Amino acid sequence: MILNVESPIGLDDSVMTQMSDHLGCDDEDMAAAGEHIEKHRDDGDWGGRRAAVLERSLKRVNEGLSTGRLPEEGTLSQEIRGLMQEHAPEDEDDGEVDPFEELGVVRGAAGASGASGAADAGEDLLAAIMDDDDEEEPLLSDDTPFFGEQEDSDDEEEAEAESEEPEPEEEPEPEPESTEMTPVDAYELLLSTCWVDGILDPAEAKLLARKRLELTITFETHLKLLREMLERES
Amino acid sequence: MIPDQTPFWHALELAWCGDGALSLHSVRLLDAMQHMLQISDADRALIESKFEDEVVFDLNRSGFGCGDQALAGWVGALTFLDDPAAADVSRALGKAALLAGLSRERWNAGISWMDQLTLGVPFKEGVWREGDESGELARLPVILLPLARELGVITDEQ
Repeated sequence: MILNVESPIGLDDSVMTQMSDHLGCDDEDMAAAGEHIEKHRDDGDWGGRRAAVLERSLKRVNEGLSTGRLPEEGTLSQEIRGLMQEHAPEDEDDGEVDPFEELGVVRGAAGASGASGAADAGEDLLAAIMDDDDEEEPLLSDDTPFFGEQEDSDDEEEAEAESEEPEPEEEPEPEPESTEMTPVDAYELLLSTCWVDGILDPAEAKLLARKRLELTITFETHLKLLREMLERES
Repeated sequence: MIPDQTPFWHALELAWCGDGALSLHSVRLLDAMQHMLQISDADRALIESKFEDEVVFDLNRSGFGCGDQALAGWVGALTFLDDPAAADVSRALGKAALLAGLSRERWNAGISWMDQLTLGVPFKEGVWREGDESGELARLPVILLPLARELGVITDEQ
């Protein structure tokens, strides 16, 4: 979403619709993510860190593509690759960075893939925002992974039936992987999102503290994840 | 250990309190300080979580983490630990603290601070006048200044 927002033509609703459909985001999540981006976007300057934010966004989307969590084919994939080309290091004319893209980057790091990366990112940001505000459980709860809402809501009965049966062939499908997210994975995504601009503010620190409590993640684990993130950055 | 009476707590104050924001550079400096002082993750977690509760959550962001400059100077001040005279200075500080009037609170603060610097033993020796007679406190390295104020050895103006 960040790459989309920072494109010369601005936010393309059709692309975001595809993304939200792919990731299972609802309208409320998208709106919350948009507010979060606007809060930190600083008219595209990102507090003087536009280049770094775009660079990280692209890096995370690439990670998503390499891990197979973002689609490599189809219309959505083409849209994502187009956005990546627009924001390649040589094309920094726009100078603006989307928080949603960064969010997508975050998810990409956790395993999201190319075309759906922006959507994934949007979901992560949305999840973080939702946690900050009122809706905390849906995206970050232990039972419900960030990307699992669609599947759970659409196929609850099927899921139950599947749990009873072995189903050796259905598991290999790509979607189940994206829905499986441990508390540590969820926290890591949120951590990366909060650090996407290279700055942590008191509100973000408070959000992370609350998530540690909810997900029963120790501060020591937080330090470990932070070190791993720094190593990836460097 | 008293979390808010340690060099690492002071480092967190420098990193956060300049403009209510923490930069990645500051995080790396904090990691370096933890490594230099051999602070365990458990102890750091104890200090940092308390700092968040009591300080960070009440801050308002007004910048982009400018505290990393002061923090870099603070981490650089840890070179005092390699000074051959570090133990003597620590004894002298202990003696000066005693002469300034050592309450239970000041004693605990001194031990907490100096233990994290691995200079707790010479500091205690200075307080209790053990071993060789402690010399006068001729100089105060930067890393001991906050503690010296807490102990009443120097005033805020000094």
